[in-house]
Amino acid sequence: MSDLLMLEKWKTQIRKGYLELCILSTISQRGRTYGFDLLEGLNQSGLDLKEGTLYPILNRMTSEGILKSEWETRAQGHPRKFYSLSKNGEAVLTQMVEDFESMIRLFRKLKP
Amino acid sequence: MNNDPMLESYLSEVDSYLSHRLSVSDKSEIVTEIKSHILDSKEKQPQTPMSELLRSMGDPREVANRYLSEKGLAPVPVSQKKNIIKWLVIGFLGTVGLFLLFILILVFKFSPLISVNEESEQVRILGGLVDIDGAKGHISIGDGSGNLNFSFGETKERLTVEGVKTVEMNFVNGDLDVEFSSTQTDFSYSCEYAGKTRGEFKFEKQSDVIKATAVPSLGVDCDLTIPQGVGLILQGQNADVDIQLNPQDQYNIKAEVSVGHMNTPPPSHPQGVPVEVRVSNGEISFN
Repeated sequence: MSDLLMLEKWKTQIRKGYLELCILSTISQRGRTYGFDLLEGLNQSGLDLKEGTLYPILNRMTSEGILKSEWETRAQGHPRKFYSLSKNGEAVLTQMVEDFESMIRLFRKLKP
Repeated sequence: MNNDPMLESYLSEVDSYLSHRLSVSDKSEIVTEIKSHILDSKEKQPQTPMSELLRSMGDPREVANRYLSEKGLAPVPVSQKKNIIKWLVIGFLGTVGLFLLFILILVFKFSPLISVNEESEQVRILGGLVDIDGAKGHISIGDGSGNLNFSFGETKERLTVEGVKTVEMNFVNGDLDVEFSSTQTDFSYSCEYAGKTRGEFKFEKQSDVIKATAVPSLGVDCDLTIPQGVGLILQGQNADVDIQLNPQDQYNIKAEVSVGHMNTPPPSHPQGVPVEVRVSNGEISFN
């Protein structure tokens, strides 16, 4: 049981690491998207992400200047908040992808 | 749909947990985005009950805590609302406790609450704060040492006049009947009175004067009988003073009514027994 617990903790830590990478990558691929649409796309990819987790991260990354956001209201409907990468965000994403791929290469060297 | 009560209640809870920690505009953005997401979910799954969609979003406090955590702020404690209720209860019980303590102190200070002495016809209430003397027909409200009493009652007495030159009395709201007697050798008085007094109301012999000891604030109704050779000094306001002089005696009369009426007094004799009566607002009658 303690091994399972340890594994779960490790997986949680790992998720924290690549979750932002996945979010930024998806937004970059779509160019511009809103929360609900983004969540659907991430879950369809197999990420299993809850809305209560996604939105606070989007909020924080917007505050940090990694994402840009703007409200859009259609003629008939409720307002939606659309996200896109800022210039700074694009640079951060590029670096994150490099670092992550570098980590994968290292792991492949080390794996038993 | 946009104002579903369950959704609004959920959003209100999230907002309350974010209060005081984020700016109004930040909170507004967060709440609006959550609402937008729920409405998108409802559009996509119209058959799914609102309660289930909200459950999927998560507990309002936990959702708020994730936002706060991402911003590096302290999360909302688990039982914030319960703490408020707890402190309200403590505050209420504390107030009740202080009130009971105050009552106990009062009861202790003014014990016994009521004591009755049937023999002397006395009733003392609140440790003597109210003193009822049935024998004298006197009620006193005060500390009993004479600092301030509220009294009403009746008092009568006879006093010897050996060495006494004058009877003196100040009054407010009086009805005074004074008789200069040709037969009585003592000074006597019978008075009904009411009001606040400093000390008990009665006449006392003080050296060569017999003097009323107090001025009841609501008034006096007195019958005074003054023996031969003893003078009178009365001064007060709002009073009717009726003076019956002894035809066998001579009097040095000084009488004055500042507002009111006075009949013509008998002729005054400089060597006579002094009779000084001053009334502000009232009447003086010499018979």
